[in-house]
Amino acid sequence: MINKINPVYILAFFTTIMLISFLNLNSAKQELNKQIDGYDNFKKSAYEYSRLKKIWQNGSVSEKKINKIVSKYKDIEYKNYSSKYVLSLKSNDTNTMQSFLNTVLNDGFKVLKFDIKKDIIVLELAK
Amino acid sequence: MRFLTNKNINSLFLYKGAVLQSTDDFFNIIISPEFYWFRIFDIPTDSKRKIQKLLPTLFEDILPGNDFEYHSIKLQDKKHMCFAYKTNDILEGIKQSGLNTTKLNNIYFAQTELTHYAPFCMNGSAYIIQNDALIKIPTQLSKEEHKTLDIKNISLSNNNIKLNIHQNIINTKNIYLLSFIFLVISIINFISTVFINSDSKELNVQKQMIKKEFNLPATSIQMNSIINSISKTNQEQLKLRKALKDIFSLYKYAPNSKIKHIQYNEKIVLSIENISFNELKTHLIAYNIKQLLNKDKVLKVEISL
Repeated sequence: MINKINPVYILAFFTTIMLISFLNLNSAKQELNKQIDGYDNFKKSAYEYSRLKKIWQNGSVSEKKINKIVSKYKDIEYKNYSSKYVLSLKSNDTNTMQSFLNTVLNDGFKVLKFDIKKDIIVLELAK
Repeated sequence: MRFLTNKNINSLFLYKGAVLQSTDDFFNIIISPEFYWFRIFDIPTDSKRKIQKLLPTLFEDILPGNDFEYHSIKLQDKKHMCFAYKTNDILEGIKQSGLNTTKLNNIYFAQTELTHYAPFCMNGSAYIIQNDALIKIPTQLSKEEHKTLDIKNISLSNNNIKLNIHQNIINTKNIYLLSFIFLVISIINFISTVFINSDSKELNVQKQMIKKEFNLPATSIQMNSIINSISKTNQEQLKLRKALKDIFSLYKYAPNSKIKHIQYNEKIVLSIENISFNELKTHLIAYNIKQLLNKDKVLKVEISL
């Protein structure tokens, strides 16, 4: 039967197969490049998400840190509301006040409000 | 047609000047000795390839011109029945006989198919054996009367040749070579495609692993929305901390100034002693400052972040 088929048809058939294979390959390459771009963006976003989450922590991590801060200072009042913590520290020692403020500000709490006077600091921190 | 046996296919005898009846069925052709050269050679090999290479040299002294194709059939010991023929001559003969080459099944040599019927008579010619070769002679030269052979009733052997019935610009061999190359390229492409698709899948798997590692939300939209929200908080809080740092650094530029009170609720309200509004503005140039009160050397300003 093969003898009856014009070899040009066989060549045309394999040419078509080859063209299809190139189209498939090209489409797969494009899809892969798209996936690589998507993956790179996703990875960047994931690291950014993780970094920001670590800085602006919430939940149990915040509570642990608040408790640690509270335990360090004597004249400190701590109130735990549903959506915020309120810390108020009374002291005449400038260094204590400065240290308290630095600790809270460097510990990644979202400061909602504050009121700083010479002998009292009141901070409202988001949960 | 491999699934057709020779019994189902008409056998036709082709000789020069023959006029044959065209048929819708497939047909085999037995070619008369006019279409080929025949010799028996002693060749010390059984390899068809080697024999094919040797045949042009062996036939060299008897063939007129070039462009011959060769066929050999092993007989016994080192003896081989060898044929030389021109495809174009046979195809031309078939066309002139009025037959359609698309229905052509196989070509047989009269030497292999009809020798054991010889001597016989067919279409006004006599066919006799001379030096082991079946030859055609005019009936007038034949010394005796021969029986007429009915070609339809003979059974054919397996010794046949396939003709390249398609005359293309590119040589058939090259067409098959090109087809093979294209096939190989296609296979390589398909394999590459499979690998690329598997890489794509691998990326998805890695995405899922990152999701698990960083405890990310289910969808990218959720993740980006959270990132945007936290980024906003991040910027606001960093601005607030920088503003506080700048306010607490004021004493470096205005050593007599003294901060009395700082409040923050979306905006910073600062009460400061011993500093003029203009001086404060100079030092806090990056902020939008609004004077609220200036009484008893105490300046009260609102700082927008």
